[in-house]
Amino acid sequence: MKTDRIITILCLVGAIVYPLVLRDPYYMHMAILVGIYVLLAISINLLLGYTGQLSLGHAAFFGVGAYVSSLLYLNMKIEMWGGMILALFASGLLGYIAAKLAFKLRGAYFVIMTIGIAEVLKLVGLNWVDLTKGPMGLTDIGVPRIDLGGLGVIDFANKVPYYYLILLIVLLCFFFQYRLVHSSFGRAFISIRENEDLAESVGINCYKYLVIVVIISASMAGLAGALYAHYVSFIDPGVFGFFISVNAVVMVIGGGQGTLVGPILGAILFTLIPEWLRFFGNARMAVYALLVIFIVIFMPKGILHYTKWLLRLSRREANE
Amino acid sequence: MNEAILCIDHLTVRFGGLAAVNDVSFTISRNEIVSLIGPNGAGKTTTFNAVTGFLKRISGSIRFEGEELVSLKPHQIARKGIVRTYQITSLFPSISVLENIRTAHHAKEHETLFDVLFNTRRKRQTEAMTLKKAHEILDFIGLREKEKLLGSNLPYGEQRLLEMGIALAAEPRLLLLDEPSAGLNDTETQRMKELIRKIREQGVTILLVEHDMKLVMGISDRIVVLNFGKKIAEGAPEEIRKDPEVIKAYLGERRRDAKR
Repeated sequence: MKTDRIITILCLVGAIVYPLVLRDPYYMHMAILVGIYVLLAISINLLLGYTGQLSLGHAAFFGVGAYVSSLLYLNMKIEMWGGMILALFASGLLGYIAAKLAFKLRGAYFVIMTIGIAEVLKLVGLNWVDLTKGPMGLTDIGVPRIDLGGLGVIDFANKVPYYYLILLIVLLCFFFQYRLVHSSFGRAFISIRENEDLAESVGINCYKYLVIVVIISASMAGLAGALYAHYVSFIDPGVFGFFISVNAVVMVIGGGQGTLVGPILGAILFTLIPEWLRFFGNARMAVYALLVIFIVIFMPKGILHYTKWLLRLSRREANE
Repeated sequence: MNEAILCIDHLTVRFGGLAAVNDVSFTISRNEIVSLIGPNGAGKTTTFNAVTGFLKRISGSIRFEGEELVSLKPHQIARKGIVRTYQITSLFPSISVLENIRTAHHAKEHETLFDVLFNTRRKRQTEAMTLKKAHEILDFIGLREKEKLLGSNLPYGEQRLLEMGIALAAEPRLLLLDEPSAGLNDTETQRMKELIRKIREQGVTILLVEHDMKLVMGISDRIVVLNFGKKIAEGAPEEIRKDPEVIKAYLGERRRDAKR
């Protein structure tokens, strides 16, 4: 328990001083992308890791968040703050509809439904040209500035303030997840994963909790989408892409599903690994794919599990 | 004392053309132990599934303390106080024994999302209450020392005890036990029998499906016998033992056997 706390504090301090140490724009860019993927991974973990339902269509919520916030900014001059909140509600609403559709669908059927939702939205994004500009995408999505009077201006167009904004949101979402999982809500989620019939026969309304979890998960993904759109300032229907959903699921499974920290570890590693593999040139993604297969085969419980195991092993050796 | 807690009235369940339960009626009085017996396929588990809301499209009426249960969902029925166990071991396999019990106490926890997020006093009290209850139950079923083990890592006999614990955590007033002694050895069956007695002493009414006749005869106040979906007998253990219909159902008729 004590080492856990020390590691948590170290990580937090590391995340806070990171921009001071590595001011290079490339490193800041990677850190911001990692942050956005951490949000997406936390969101998928709530659903996959705790209720055991796999979504391969989380890009639907991510994309809706991105488009809602961008369109509000471009058409109605609503700043990112309002856009983010409305993106959260819009994707939460979509989550509610998706959960209602899912009703009795579990396992493979649930997966197919989520893929379907994302693909339908992608087609809408491509073809509703009047609103979304189709494949041309939306450009010039701006970010807010905060004028602190005499203290200067925080311009979120700079990477460092944006990094801290994302760090703050990630911490809030992590905290939210932590509280949720350690409560009667969390136990109800897990009971769906473990044994739904038994859960029903002790009085747990599994369907209600599935709806709750999908809404929360979808809202977080929407928030990540909005943050992404304002950061890169350009989006096209690619934000609904299958690749985004799959990538985030790989992060959750690779890192350690159903754990609090695993998805964060996964999001960090699986965003950075493709970068480290750049010296393979064109073979980069093939090597990445092999690595993912390797991890899934030899570390089915996720990297976190084996890190802990290694820690325990080294501690035992130190004692002997 | 003899007030009816569960009234099953003309219950019929059809699977396609087959009537798995055919016009069955019986009542259970408060704090009784009633056993439901019969050969394989007689409709015992189907009756359980009907009472606990796992079957749709059933005809007849099932009333619990005067309230109609037909058309309610399983979790709603559980919240009214009817909890069941399963014939095949059914627990939450990859969480600890303690978490298994805590999870099952869900219906008695009343916290909102707000309580959870802000860790309000109500949330902390709820957690403390659930933990206390879970420990009481673990002491009761004798698995307190194993609370940290995963459900699936318990030996089979203790998994069956844990299932009882899970059911008890939901605080039932009527407990439906589907073959609790299946697969247990003599000592374990004896332990299970004692446990069922102890549960009854706490004021819980019990409906038992069981193949172990020694257990059934030793523990039941009353026995209901089903065969091919129909009720063929009902009465005290001594009466059932001597009932010609029951003997026929279990052993068959001599003359018909001889002809073949």
